[in-house]
Amino acid sequence: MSLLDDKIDLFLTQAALADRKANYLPMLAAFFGEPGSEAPHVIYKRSVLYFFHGAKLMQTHPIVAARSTDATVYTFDGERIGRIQPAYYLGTATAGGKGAGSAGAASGSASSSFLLFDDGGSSNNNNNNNGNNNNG
Amino acid sequence: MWFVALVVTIGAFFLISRSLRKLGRLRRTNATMLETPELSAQSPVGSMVKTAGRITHPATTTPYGKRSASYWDAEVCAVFQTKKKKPAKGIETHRVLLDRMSSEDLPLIITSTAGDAVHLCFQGPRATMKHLNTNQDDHASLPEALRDKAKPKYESYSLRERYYPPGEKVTVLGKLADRNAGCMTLTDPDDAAVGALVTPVALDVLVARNARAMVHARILIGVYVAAAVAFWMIYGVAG
Repeated sequence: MSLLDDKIDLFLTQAALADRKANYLPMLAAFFGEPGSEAPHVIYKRSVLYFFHGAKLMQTHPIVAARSTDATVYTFDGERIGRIQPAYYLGTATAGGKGAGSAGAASGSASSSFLLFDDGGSSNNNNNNNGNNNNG
Repeated sequence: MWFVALVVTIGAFFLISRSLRKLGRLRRTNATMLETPELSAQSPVGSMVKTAGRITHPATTTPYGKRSASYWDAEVCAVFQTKKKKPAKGIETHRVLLDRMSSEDLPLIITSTAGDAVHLCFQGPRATMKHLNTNQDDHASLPEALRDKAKPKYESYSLRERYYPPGEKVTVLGKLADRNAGCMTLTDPDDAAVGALVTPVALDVLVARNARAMVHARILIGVYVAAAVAFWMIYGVAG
């Protein structure tokens, strides 16, 4: 087993795909071993494997019967394995321990504290439309 | 008369404090947008960064409008009217959310102007994605897939879709969560008060809009204070 194969093995284990190694190890090894490909990397999200060259999506591979409820996203570039857990960053999940009142206040401010002022929007257009309808 | 003075004072305090809070939020938002450093090869993992780029993920189609989109979300609501409960009079309109879909399960990739692949992985895309194209239609019947959710009392159904067209140029603010040779991943920041942002509007336009809103808020505070002072002077003279 080469070093790359070891790392692919580790990636598949991390992403809870250890029982499908027979299928995916050769596929990933071929993808990363391809000469001349620029910045190859893989993203595993919601039980689908996405193969990228840089920002360009090369192919996708849905993995049937894998756990699609898992929100964790894994990234792999042949060297490093990234594990991104979006739920960890969710305000309500972390504020839950501080009591219901403060948690509610925290999540309320989370959505509202980033304030963007909009002048002119779709709501104005809707009002105009309503006016036109009434006149007609 | 004392009672009126008390009510006016409390009202003025309430209005002034609300304007001050809004002013503070606008100032913080502008500071975040201006001071967050640009994403670079040296940006430390875990820090807030901003970057601009073009969405390069292949286009998908919105479920109802069949528009080509790089990101979309859709809501189906049932709309019906009832008479208000007894003491009140008139008609009120109810909206019941029947279904919500989005393309957030797909990874969203942008190519930054520097040429890097940036992977956006936000927990709440609905709150994060701003200034999407919106397209709303009212229908008499539900789409085929949702027919079993229909009820006789529902009068109409509104389908609302929001989307970014393919290749949309966006500005992104978020936390650099991970970096490897292939791409960088941005997520929501740990500090929920800061928030992440994806918008096709240039940041300097947003900053200018917020600056204008800050001027309005300051004028409003001035008016409230002047009105409160004027009231007290008149009341003081009269009393």
